[in-house]
Amino acid sequence: MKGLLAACAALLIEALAFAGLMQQWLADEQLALLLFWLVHGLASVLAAEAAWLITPSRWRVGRYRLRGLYFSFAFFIPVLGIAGLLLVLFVAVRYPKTVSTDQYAQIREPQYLMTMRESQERSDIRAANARQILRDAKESVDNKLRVMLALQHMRPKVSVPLLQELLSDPVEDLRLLAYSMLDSWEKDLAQRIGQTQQALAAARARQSQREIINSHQRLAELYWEQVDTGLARGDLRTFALEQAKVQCEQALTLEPKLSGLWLHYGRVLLDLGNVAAAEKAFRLARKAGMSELYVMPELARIAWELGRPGDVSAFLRRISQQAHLPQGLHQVVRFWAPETERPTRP
Amino acid sequence: MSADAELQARKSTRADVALLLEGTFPYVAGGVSSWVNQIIKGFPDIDFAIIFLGSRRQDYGEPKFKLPDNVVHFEAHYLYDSDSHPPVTAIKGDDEMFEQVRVLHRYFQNPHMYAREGAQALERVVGELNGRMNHDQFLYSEHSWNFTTQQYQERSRDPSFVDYFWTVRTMHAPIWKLAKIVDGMIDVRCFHSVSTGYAGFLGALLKRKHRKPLILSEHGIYTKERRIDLYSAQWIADNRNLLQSDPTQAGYFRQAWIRFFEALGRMCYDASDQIIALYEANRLRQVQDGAREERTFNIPNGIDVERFGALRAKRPAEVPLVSCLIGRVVPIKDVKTYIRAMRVVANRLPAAQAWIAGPEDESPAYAKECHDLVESLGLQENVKFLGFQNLMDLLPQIGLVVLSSISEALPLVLLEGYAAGVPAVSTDVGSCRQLIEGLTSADKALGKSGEIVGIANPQELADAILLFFTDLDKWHQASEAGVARVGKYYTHPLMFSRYAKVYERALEGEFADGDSFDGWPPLDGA
Repeated sequence: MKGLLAACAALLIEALAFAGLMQQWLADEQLALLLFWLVHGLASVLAAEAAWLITPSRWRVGRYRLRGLYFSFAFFIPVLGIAGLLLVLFVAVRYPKTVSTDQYAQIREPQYLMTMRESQERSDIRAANARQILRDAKESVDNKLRVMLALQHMRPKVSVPLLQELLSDPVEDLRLLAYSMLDSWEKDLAQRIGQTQQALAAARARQSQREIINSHQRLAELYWEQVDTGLARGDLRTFALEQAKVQCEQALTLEPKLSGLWLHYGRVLLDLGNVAAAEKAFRLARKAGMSELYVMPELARIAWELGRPGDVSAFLRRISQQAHLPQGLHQVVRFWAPETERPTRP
Repeated sequence: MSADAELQARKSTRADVALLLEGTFPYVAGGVSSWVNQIIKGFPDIDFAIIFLGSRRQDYGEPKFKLPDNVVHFEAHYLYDSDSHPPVTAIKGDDEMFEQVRVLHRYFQNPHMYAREGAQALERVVGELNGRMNHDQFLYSEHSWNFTTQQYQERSRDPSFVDYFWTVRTMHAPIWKLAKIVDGMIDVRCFHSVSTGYAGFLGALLKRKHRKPLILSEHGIYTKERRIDLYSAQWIADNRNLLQSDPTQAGYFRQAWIRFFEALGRMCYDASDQIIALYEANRLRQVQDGAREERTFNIPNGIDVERFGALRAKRPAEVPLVSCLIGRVVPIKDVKTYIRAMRVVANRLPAAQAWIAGPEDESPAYAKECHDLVESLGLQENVKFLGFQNLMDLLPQIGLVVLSSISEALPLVLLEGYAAGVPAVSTDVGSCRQLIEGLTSADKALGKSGEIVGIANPQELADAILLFFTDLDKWHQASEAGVARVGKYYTHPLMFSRYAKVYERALEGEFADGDSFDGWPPLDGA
């Protein structure tokens, strides 16, 4: 009887605490929250006591520990904790068979693996050249499959060309695995394009210029990624480049000061074969504030393609004094613009 | 009475042949299902029982086929339906049985070294699946727990015991469901499984218990397909952290699943008396996976050439600039590559149409991705999704059958197209090269009935489609070659006469008491 009374009191106090919080009886938010925790704590103590009193004597093991457990249930899960605790105990007392533990036995827990068991098949494949192994007709299919699994951890730009070669491998297992890996990357890109198109539509509906520009820029990057990774080939590559071009143009029309996007636009135009427009875009990127470190190599590339080696040197000399040249570029600059020469403006 | 209720009403106590079908006829449309339908209709004097195995009931809609009259018995079982588990009871476990289980696992891990003991243990354990090694023993016995924890400590390369425990539970659960099917099996004269996997394992159990011949007809190679699925599956846990992970190793649970299906396949091959492939490359693969070579042979598919041949008279005088992918809109058909190819085709031939004729309900998410792709490539005017179509109406309207699949066996749609005078462009999968370029020298002399392209290569696929739409002489040559090829090598009479021999041997007791016979001469594809 005492237990039942304590349970009713706990539920009532908890309801009061919750109602007070919901109805905002106190204007000061922090004070209201503090009061809620105090009243909720009182309800939890009462609920723990009620639960202890309701608990059949054969289950009352550890006076304080069990009360502490009940209190934790009640306190750390507001409202539901108290109601759930009392409901479960009511069911357990009223229908003891439902909580019978006769069918369970205590067993020793397993010894968990704290250190990693290495595969006996492990070899030096990781260090070897993936391309060489995949092309070697004498290499076993299992080894090739293992190299392919390692490709999943590489950048798509590196692994996509290798996987595309494997699409025509005589072994069907390799072909299918290569396909499924390529397909998952393509699917991922397509999904991101779809999501960005939706974001663009939403931004247009909200007339949020910043979000519209961001979405166009993101779409341009995603279409470019299809090209850059090699996932889009042939006419589809051209299609993706055209899409990237359109997205760049739409973003630049709205915001012409995006130096990074001008650079990106120039690369897209260059890949589309529109060299003159690309050169103009790179110069606009520089004008908008893009560092020479990024613009000069692109202009040098154009000069090379147009057969103007003198301009290549001139462009690269402009960045030859830069302290942080990217790894690949360092050698190129050193070849075209030896440090002894002074930079000149082409 | 609903179509499903009608199936369930087919009950009998005896049949001639029990067909063991996993995830196919009559609930799933597709090449294998059409083949099963053909076989049942092709042998009206044989009474068939169908044992359908599925994953969960909700994964299948209404039946896609009406059962022919000679299907006298039908059962459907769902291996991953969370129905009844036996009531929990504390048991210690059967010492001898678990010792056999230990030997059996040693055999699965190294089949060549422990072949003899493994086979004996298999026989012993399988024989007790409804007795001393019943489901209770697996789920609740102390021995089972001890064996699981010991295997985890000795073998697992994944640190999570929880994932290990549930992987073992999930993997083994269907075995006892299959054992129940074996016990309730009606009286039949032979078993015929259309794949390895669970259906093939069921065949092996049935053969062991009932001592009746087992025939295995494989279209694709089940184990290989599961292996690829499992390599790319996202649902399998891998709890190795960055330092623990060897990138050249698939996760432990992934490998465990692959080994499990390989073991099921091996048990099916061991038990099968006649192992049939559709073409030579698959037969060799079966041998490589453990089938005894002398039990293997090829029987290619065949079609009703006269019925489809009549469609040639209905074709328009001009070749329609319509290519058509006939098949389910599912990932294995790689419909997306076909759509991408159409972007290239439409750039050069804006009037060209691409139709996709097949149901979209099997993989709605993939179908949506395909529709989205059409939109994003701006192909709404060129690509049409037609849903399931009657081929008798469809074939006269199209100029090319296209298959962009990443895996096929011996696709009936190519043959049906040939008979109707429609050449084909297909990826180089399964026996498609043989169907397009010919197998034997006499077959090759008929000429090419289409073009073969690499998988997942939209540019190459588009070039091949354009080739036929821009060079009509080539189209007519390919059409004639297709008509000749299907009429000579891939007809119903040829296929049925070969299967008649298979059934004759099985039904007339050539493999009495389940003994396998030796010396079946390998038939070539022709």
